Amino acid sequence: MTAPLLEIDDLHVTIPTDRGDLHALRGAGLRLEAGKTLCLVGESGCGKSLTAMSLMGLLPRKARQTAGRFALMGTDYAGKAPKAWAGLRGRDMAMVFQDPNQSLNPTMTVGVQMTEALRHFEKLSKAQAEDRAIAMLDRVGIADPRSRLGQYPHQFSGGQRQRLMIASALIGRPKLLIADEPTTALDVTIQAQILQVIAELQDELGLGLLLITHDLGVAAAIADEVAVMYAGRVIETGPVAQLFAAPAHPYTQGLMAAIPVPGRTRPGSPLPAIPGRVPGLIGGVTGCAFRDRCALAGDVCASDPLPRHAFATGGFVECTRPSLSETRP
Amino acid sequence: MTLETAVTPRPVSRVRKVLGNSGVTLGGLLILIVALLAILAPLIAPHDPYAQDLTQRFLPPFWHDRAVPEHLLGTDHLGRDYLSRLIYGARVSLGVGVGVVIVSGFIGISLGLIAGYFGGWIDVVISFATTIRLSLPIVLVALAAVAMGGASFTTLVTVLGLLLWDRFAVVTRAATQSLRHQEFISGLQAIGARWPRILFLEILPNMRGTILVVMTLEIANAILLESALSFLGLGVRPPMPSWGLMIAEGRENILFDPWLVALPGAMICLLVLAVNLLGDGMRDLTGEARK
Amino acid sequence: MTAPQTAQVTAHRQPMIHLRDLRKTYSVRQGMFGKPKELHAVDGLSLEVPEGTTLGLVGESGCGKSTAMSMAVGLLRPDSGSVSIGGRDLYALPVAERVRLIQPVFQNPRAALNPVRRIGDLVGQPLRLHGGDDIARRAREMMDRVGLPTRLFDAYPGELSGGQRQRAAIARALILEPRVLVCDEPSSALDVSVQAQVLNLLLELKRDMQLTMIFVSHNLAVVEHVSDRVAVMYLGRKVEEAPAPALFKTPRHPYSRMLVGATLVPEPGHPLPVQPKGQPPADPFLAPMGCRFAPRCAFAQASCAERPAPAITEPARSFWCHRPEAVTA
Repeated sequence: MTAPLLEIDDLHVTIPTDRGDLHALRGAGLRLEAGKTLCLVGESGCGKSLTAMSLMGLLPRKARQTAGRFALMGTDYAGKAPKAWAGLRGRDMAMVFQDPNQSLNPTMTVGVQMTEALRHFEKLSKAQAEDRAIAMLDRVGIADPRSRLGQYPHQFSGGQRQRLMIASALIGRPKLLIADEPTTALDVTIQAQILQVIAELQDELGLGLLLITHDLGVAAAIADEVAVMYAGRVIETGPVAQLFAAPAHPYTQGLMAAIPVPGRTRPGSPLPAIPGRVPGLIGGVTGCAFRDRCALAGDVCASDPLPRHAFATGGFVECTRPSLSETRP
Repeated sequence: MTLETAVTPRPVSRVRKVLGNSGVTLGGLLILIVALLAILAPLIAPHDPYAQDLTQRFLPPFWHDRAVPEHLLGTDHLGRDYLSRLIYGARVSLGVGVGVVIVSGFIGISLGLIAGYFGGWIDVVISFATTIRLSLPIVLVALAAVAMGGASFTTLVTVLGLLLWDRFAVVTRAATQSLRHQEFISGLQAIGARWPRILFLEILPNMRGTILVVMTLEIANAILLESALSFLGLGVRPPMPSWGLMIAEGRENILFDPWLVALPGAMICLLVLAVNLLGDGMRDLTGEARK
Repeated sequence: MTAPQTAQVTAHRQPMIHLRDLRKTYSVRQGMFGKPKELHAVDGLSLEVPEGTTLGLVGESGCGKSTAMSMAVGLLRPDSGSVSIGGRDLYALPVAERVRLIQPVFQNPRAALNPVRRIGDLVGQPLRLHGGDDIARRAREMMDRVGLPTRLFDAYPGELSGGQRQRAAIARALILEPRVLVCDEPSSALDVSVQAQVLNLLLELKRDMQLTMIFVSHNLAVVEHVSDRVAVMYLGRKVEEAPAPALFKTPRHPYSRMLVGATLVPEPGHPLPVQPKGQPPADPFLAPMGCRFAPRCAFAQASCAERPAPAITEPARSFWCHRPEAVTA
């Protein structure tokens, strides 16, 4: 059995603040197979972006990180120096961020930005690197790529800039692409185009894609597997069809119920909203972080470790009272 | 990365943060001492700073052999007690510093708010005025103004106040521009608030930290300018005890009685250093708070 | 019919807010020395909203919806056209009366409240500006009504969560009891669970206070949930208007169809919406004098760009297209 492309287990990230240690990630874990798409979903503060940052070695300086297992393509880097992991960046792992305006250097031409990493890692000549860049720009749907190599980011629209980011990320043919809310800042019609580009490239290059989003619609559209995060932990995972059809964790259920779906939710009716707020993570949390907002919570939810139920159909849920069903036992 | 749901900022450790900043504490302490000297001058000063005694001229300070116990820091060319004059000099320096900043602050902040809020040709005009102001040599303009109006405390404060508003204007304008398009401004317009209220009661309080920093730096600037102008004879008129004036008056005897120049010079240095420390410290604090 | 009955029928038919042929054009300089070009941000927009109903306004960035709403609220004087509320011309009224007719709620809860003012002051400020009495008590009442705990009366906006800030903004907008509320993306910056709470609140207040609402959003699912009718804007013009469920089930205008098609629902199994490749972005300067959507329209012919599209009126809905027969095929 081949090792999964990416495997993280028991990831803890703590950030010291004025008011004490913030346990932003409390034992998060995920698995991604090569060529597949895993969507990490959750609301603000759940730690999904931090997980991506941790993968790319971009955590804030003050943050402290420990992991039980932190493996890319079978090699575990958990005990090793951060330098070893950092060497994979740009080469085997690439990242696309939410705001293309912040990721593209406004003072450098597009051609230079796309080719500099390539020339560094693969020792290509300028002409060779530019050819690769042009091919990639064409692949992501930028018209007339040769003439646009000499242009600057501000001469592109928002959607085009996101395509540039994707092209820059994938030009080195990485094995893993991490996309942190790549379409959140874009219009709906552009979003569809960008997702299409990403999906096509993924098929072509056999990429593993870790896509982080708060938008369940995006997850439903392109994920093979979904992992739901809450307050620094992954509380439910599963194949996309199963998870959406039969969410087992009360939080997942609450999240899905709160989204209006044309044709399904009755217009004008009150949406079932999850009461309360995410708990503060200063000083950590014992037991289930969702219990104060959960209708099913009981005393047993206050103690660790929380039981984990593995589904026959794949994935797991971490809950004392998960909603199991026939379709998803 | 939003951790806002998990961490809600509270002003709990603000006092500790303020005191922990060495610039603020040290600078603040020094300024406090000088301010106390200025305020309590009549109670602290051993002699009347204007009282002359020509029999007691050029007495040296206490570390010298020829020193006299009643004049701890010696006397000047008219036999006036130097310690008392130094203490009263704090009044002039701080008075000018604060007075000038009040005038220049009012002018500069108003201009900056208006330029930043309205933009367009109003901004062009005000920016042009600022550019003109920046190209003026202040000392020469002060010279001309004083030549016309006569040297005095009030003239000095007025002239410097009318000249030193540029940094206020520039900083306020930039800060206003960055706030201009925030939605709470539209919200205020939507409930019918008029622009004077929006500028002075809603936008201005958002810049408190920045303006405070500029204020401290401008006070230092004003104090230095006053000393320079008084030294040139264009500031306060004798016999008022101004540190700059005291330097001028002691200049001729610098080789024989160097303390006449060194003591007021040291006071100027100390005060300006203190103000700058305070300003830098506050800049660090407000910069942190903004994150 | 007797005279009073006629009057009653007419009064019933008169819309609460009526935007007539609004236009706003900006002169945009192309670079430092370029000739200024005309940007028709809003190009002849007309909207009627009957009392007590909600009109959803959708469109992507650059369509002019925010500019149009600024004009509707009295913040931006239109170049031509008029805004009437309850039959009265908004711009002919003094500001003190305008503010009691229509109020906005903005998107960004972070920037919508002055960070140096306390919540109680903010909510009561409209009353203070317009000579109200018993302000503190009425502010507390309003805070209670929107579900804000009154202990937050003396808190600063920085101490509140995004959802709470949005509630405060709503309280402030409603304290003068306006007839019309314009919500510009009120829930876009919020998490799903909080968004549901805010939407529920708006629907409830609308019923209790008999508000007429215009709800602007790029999130079609949310718009469909809260609106009675929906208008679709593209580059400054209205391209379609229909009852909400009808628009989503059977959009008629090609742009509406593109928009509805691109909306991702949290239901796996739908293929990614197929987007034609090589589409130019919506550039207001390249828009033709005729139908503005022509450059991107799959059904367009050369003649479409020459003249503005005629209105096709059907019972309860209308859309603007040169070739409705080709589109419906």
